[in-house]
Amino acid sequence: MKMIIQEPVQAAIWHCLNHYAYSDATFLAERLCAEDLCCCLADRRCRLTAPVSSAVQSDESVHLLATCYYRSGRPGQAHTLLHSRQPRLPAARYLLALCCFELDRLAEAESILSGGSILKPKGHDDVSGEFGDSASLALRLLARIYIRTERKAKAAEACKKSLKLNPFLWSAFVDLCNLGESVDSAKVFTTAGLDSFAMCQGPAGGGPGTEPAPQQHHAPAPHGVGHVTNVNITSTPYQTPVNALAGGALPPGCGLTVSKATPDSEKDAVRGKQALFRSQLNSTVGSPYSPSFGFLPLDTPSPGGESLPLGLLSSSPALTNNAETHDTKPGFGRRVLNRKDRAMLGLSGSSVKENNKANRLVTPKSPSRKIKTRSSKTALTTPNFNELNEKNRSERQLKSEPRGRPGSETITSAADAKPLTGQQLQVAALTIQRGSAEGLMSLLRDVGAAYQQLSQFSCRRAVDLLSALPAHQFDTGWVLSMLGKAHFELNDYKEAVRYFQMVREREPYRLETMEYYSTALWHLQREVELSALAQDLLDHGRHSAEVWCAAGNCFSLQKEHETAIRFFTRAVQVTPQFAYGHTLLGHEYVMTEELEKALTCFRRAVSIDPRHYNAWYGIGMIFYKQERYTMAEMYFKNALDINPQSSVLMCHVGVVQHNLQKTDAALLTLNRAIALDPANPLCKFHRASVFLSSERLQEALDELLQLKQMVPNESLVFFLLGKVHEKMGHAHLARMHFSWAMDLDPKGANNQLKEAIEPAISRGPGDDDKTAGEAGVLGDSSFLPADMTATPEAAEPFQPIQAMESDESL
Amino acid sequence: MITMLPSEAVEEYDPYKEERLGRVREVGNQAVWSLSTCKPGFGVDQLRDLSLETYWQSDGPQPHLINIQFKRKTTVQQVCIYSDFKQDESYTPNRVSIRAGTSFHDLRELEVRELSEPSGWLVFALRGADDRPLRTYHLQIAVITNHQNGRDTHMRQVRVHAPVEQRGVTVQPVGSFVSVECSQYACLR
Repeated sequence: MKMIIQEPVQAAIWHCLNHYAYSDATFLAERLCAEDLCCCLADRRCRLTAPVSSAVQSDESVHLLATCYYRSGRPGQAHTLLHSRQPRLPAARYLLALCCFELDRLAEAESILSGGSILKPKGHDDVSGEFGDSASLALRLLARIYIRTERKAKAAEACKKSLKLNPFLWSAFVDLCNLGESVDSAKVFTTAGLDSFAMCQGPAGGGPGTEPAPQQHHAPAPHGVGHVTNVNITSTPYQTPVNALAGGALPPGCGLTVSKATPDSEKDAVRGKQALFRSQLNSTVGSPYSPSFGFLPLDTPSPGGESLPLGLLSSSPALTNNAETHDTKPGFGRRVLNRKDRAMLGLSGSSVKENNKANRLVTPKSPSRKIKTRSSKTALTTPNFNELNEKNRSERQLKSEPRGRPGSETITSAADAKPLTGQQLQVAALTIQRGSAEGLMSLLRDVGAAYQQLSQFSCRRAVDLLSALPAHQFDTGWVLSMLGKAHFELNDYKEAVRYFQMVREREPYRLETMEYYSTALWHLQREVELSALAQDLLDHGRHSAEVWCAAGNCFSLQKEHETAIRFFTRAVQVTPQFAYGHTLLGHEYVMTEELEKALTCFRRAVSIDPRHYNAWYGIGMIFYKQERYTMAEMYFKNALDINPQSSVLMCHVGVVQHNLQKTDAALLTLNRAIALDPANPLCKFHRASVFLSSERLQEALDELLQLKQMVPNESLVFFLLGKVHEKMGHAHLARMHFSWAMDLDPKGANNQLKEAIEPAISRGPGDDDKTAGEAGVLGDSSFLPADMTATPEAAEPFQPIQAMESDESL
Repeated sequence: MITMLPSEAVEEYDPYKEERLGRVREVGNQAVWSLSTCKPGFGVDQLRDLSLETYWQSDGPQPHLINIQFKRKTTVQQVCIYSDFKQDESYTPNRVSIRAGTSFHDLRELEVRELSEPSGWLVFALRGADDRPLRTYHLQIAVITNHQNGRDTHMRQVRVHAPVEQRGVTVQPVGSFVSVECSQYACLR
């Protein structure tokens, strides 16, 4: 009796969930749960049915309720529920672990996933055995826990295992790269190693409408080709239910299961797959759209007008059921099922458990769909293949069914009546699935290789790889933002900004990596753009750390450090695990001279992400400010080890080495920096400074003259030139250059200029003529830098002095 | 050391502009402010809000004191006070003294200034011993007398400025780069 209640109800709940009607779903699930609990207790008292089954029932309903809570954004409730009821379903335990993780209860999450005693935790193989089809995701979650608890080696291992089981988990690959592991994306993103797609898709089809099939209890996840019991071929969630077979409340997601039923497990598996079953019946049919990869269109079948479409799909696309898509060109992984394939797959004799159509059609008498009974009747008998089709077709099917082997008839008129073994069937199905997933896999290989290079900071290589992607993929927000980030890491902020602008045009809702955009604008001092960006982002996502980082950068550029600190603190509160937020906060504290707080922030950033070289750099800067150069050098070198291609870091290391009197080492470093990034004027500037302080004046002069060509507007270049000339004894030239330096610094930002210049001026000849003219050289365009290449004239020796004096006013 | 200033304060000095340009940094937020006396509703908040309309009004005997106590020894470059004779008349401070030290008991007078109908921002540049930048825990602004012998005083706004440590990572003691082409490479963020 309970079965009658459950099926439509569960299906109804899934339907609500799929349409995001969480309050409805939650309410119904709560009622179902209560009912189950009562029945469960009743069963136990009466010992009518096997306690296991009712326990399974109630486990399912608990899991369903917990899912409702979780999807409504209440992991706490889900956690409490699951914790109290302790279901044994792997999927339910996975959900419990996930809730624990999100509530920061890492120890609990870990014990659920890989528990066992503390002394003898389970290995990853045990985990995968226990969790069946959810193993890859369970391992992924475990990896995240390890990362949070700073166990890098175990995290890497778990990620690798997870990817082996399910190469569709991109985030595992990302984590692996971010841990600093060098992974070969070609080896990771391949379906060749997969025995079945069960891990990638789940047993009852990955569609959102499906329940986690309790058959996992009965038919554990397949290991090895020979033992495959479930080959799941599922369609995607994207399909819209075209055909709601009677009664509507069926999960739209579909799953087709071609499974070899061994007599014993058959009943259980069947029972377990009820919804599956129904879903297969109901599956979406014929939406004409098909994305490019992973698509196996069904071919129009058989002569009798009876179609036997093959619902073979891999993770993505829609099925065009009877689409006459004879697309011979495979493209990105499309594969048309031809007759040969169908013959391969088709089935006589082999047990397709869910022969939905047939079963279903028997149904109309019993609206409650006691599938169990039906299926037991038909299960082993019909060789018919899964069909995603409309009613009429299925009716025809039904009629044809009693004839014995309709499958073979419809599938191939060539009457290949040789029964295929279940094994061959599965192998064939697998091959087709693999072919169809190949398109996505090859894209992932390319993208993965690029991401790997980026995470190792081989940015040029990453840029090349990303630019080689096909145009339609290149033009997406993610790829463009990765390009932006690559240029950002190369310190090429202009290019980075250009890419980020493209991202904003195409995907204005995109928030990830926007913090890098804001920092690039900060470096370029583009106030207007930055404040516009911050405004726009704040409109879109106040709950996102990246947005608050952008806002903080905006105020930092305006020198309002207090406000910037407030915003960065907010960013950190919103997402405590966002390392960059801590780094930016640290930099702001350094600006307000609160060095202890800054140090705390940088240390926190580093503990979250040890490869976050910006934080290491920040710690180095703090020590530099405290003039503890040895420590500063150490931390700068740390940062440089992580990001060896950053010329800025090399410059810092070089300067610090010089401060430590290691002048030769400093020069070596600076030479390397110049070779690496000739566009960075500061490398030459620092080298010139080192020459100057080592009294290698001619070399300094040469360097500075080259630099003058590179950046003709930089006041400090002229200042240094002045100092060089001063040391060389060319007092006049020195004064000239100093005055030019003053000219180029209208805001007087460099107070040291005045202090440095004073002695030079006082040494000059005839400087007593302090005619108090207010008209200084400021704004006088006669001292355009272009003039300087000419030999210095003796013109206006006194004007520099006047300029100085007019600057004295506050 | 008494200095006479012309009736105009230093012409159009705008501390906010200086802060925005990054030449100085306002550090009042890192300190604890207290007043010797004040009228309810006319206290520290009114002295430190960014509005020149609100003011602090003292309510007791002279000298009226503003105490600024930092958590740690802070380098202070100057103190800016806004005062307007036209609005405050007899409440306008006449003689102002700036003192610094480690606590209430060892304050040392740095500057005393006699004001004459001020109207605008008054800047008190502070130097420590040996003419080096002043580093202090405790700063005190004392209003000793008011115009027209008024008892209580009004003070509209006070800003405390610290020098900006502009020194980047450079070999020579230079400040920051002026051009964007250079400054973008000067640091990482």
